[in-house]
Amino acid sequence: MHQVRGRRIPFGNRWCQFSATIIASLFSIIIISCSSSVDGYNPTLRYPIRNDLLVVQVPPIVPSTPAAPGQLDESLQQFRKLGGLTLNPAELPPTYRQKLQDTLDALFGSPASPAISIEPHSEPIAGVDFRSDRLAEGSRLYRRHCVQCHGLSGDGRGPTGPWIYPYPRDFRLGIFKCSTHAECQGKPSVAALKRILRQGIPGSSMPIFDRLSETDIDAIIGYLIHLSLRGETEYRVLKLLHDADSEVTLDDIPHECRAALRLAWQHWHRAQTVQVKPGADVSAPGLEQIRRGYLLFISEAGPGCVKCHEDFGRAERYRYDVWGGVNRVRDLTRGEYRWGHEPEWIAEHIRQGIAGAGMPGHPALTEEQLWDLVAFVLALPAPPRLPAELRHVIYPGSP
Amino acid sequence: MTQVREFESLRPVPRWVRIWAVITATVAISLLFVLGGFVTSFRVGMADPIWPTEPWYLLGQNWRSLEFGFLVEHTHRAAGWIVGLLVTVLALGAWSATPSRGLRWFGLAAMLLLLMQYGEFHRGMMAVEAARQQGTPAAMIPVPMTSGVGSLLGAFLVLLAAGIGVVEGRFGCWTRALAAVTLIAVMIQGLLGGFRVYLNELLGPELAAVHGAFGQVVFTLFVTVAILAAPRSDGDCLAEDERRRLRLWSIALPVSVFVQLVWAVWLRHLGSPLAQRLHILTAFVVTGLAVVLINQILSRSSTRQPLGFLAYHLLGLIALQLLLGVESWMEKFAAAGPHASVPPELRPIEVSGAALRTAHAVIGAALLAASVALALRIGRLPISRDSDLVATVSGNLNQLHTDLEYAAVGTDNSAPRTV
Repeated sequence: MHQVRGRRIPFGNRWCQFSATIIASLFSIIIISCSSSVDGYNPTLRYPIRNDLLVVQVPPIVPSTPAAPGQLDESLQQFRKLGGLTLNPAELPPTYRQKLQDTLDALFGSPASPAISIEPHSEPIAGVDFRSDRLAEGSRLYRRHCVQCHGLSGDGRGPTGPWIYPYPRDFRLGIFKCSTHAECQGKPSVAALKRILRQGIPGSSMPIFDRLSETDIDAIIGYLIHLSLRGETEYRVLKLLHDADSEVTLDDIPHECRAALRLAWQHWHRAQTVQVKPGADVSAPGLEQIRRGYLLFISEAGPGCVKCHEDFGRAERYRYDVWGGVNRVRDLTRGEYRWGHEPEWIAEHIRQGIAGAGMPGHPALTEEQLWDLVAFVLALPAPPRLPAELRHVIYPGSP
Repeated sequence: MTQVREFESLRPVPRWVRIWAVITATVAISLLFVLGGFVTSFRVGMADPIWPTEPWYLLGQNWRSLEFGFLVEHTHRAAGWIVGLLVTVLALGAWSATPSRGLRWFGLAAMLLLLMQYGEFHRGMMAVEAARQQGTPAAMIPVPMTSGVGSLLGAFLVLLAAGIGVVEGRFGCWTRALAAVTLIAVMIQGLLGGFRVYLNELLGPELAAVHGAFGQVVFTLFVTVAILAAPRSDGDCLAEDERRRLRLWSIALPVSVFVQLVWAVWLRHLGSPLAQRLHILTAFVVTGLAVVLINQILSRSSTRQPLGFLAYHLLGLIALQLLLGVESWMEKFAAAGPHASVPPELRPIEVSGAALRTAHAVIGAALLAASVALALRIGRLPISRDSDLVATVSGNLNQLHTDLEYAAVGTDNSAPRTV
């Protein structure tokens, strides 16, 4: 021990001071050398090639419960036994997988440097900036806000993904529930994606991101579409490689990838041209309109809503979706609508159905029928807004 | 007031308050920390993006229909409410033992004001969140400023009362003051957890890390209050030279454990490679300090006898924590096979790995508690029969213990009861 003014001071001797200096210097070097790698992806990191099962057809049965927590991929492995059809990309020859990975890397870059190699004459996807700096910014924001649920490649299998329900969206099929036109093959408008980011999805773990700037939202959406294009290209080519009749050789893979990308791109382009029809005013619907909507809702010969939304959705009923997950049929008495309370969006989803979720569209409904149904659905969670006789039927015991 | 009969054993707060303090610390680590650890291990902090919700929210739900992540996150919220309730009773109970009547009522009134305003703020935030869920942009929804300012005022008055109590220097003043501070700390911790959800897109991961680190501070306060609430008696402290010999090491250990926990929180929440390195390096520092301290305690019979149990307890925790740390590192960072090319923070979470890392986090908090307990036990000063010994507010651990020095025995009507 060293002495200062007669007091014994630990760490006071020369060796202790030397050791302390060395340790402090070591910590400083580590801090300086590591501070640059805290944000952003490692430049050598590549998007992983797909290893999980491709769901081609879900089992023709009605599931009684959702998959157990953390068991999505295990439940997909049971699909063949249950009469569904899945393909295992891990069974492909390694040379094919390597070729596909190299081709996808050439077309879409890496998480640190994302890119899209599309033919110059392709029609643009309106509202999306695919320049490399914007994609890189989108990738950085995606890593901060989205990756823990939606995963590195947009597979919906981020670390949190299996532990929440409904499962986060897997972008790789190129199908989104917020798509509002059957001709777009499940692709949504950029406006619909923005709504979801700004408003979240009630009844799910998707949070609200309304404090992000417009620039950031645009960058995230651009990167999300990039991931979706990459995933759909991969999905289509993997499916083709599994097809015994396709006769695709190793050398055909780059060509098939470009063709799949072109097709998906066209669907995204088309989705931006579809307009949502303006809504009718159902903010203060008449009781008669609600009654007509109720009759349509319970009529099995009409739209047949009640067949799935049994007890107005309060009965726990499940359906397989195209991703292989299990959807709970929405409880319409809770007043939680995935795309907000705006009547035109609810009308659009009744008219067009919900892509991937198994909810059919009802294009045959007349405008009057459609808005009657919307008026009833919007009044359903608020008993005072319902006519007395309906209130007693829907909410037995209510005054 | 009961006169002091003997000077053998003194209680800074009533016996039930001490039992309550021990219950609070036990519930905090066995329920709140375990569930909080699972929230981070499974990364389900945003499983329910809605905050605030009612404290009794889960009671009205069909638990079978709730998904795993939501259930883990909400049970952590519910455990937070339970601990908040326990701390409220602890603070009110401890403060009720304040000898000075005026200060006692002032402090109790300040606490009630704080509790009411905090409740009002919570209710206001529920209205804000409801408007947000209806689609109103966050920038257009006013936050409940009045109750927020009211809460700050209440917290200031509670701190003022605690400060006056410490300056007065009556026996047990630090115990009562820290119990009051714990109430404020647990409220701040609740808000940090809530705003981690509410401000997710702006500061979510950072606030989650602050919530995790501040949780260690709050837990240290629980343990400190539980230890300071213990009855004192003659000869229950070390000799002066022994205390001096151990004092520095006993303070350095909890400080280094806390720093180590900050790196751990940073690593778990933000996945920083820098934090990973600092966490491993600091583990050597903590182990070294613990070994030195334990060796110094056990090397002499004068310290082995009173502190032996605490030293062996610390040694056991260190050994267990090192084992859990190595296993957690192997599980999280030393991946092979298809996951090897994926960054650690993006790999799938296995139940066994999550349980291992949660156990590592909980034992880390227990280690902090054990080192704080040892430091407080070593730093304890003898009870003095001298009158007019007044504690000073220097924050020094040694001076913190001067509150245990008894003043004006038999001359002060408000002297604490003997047992």
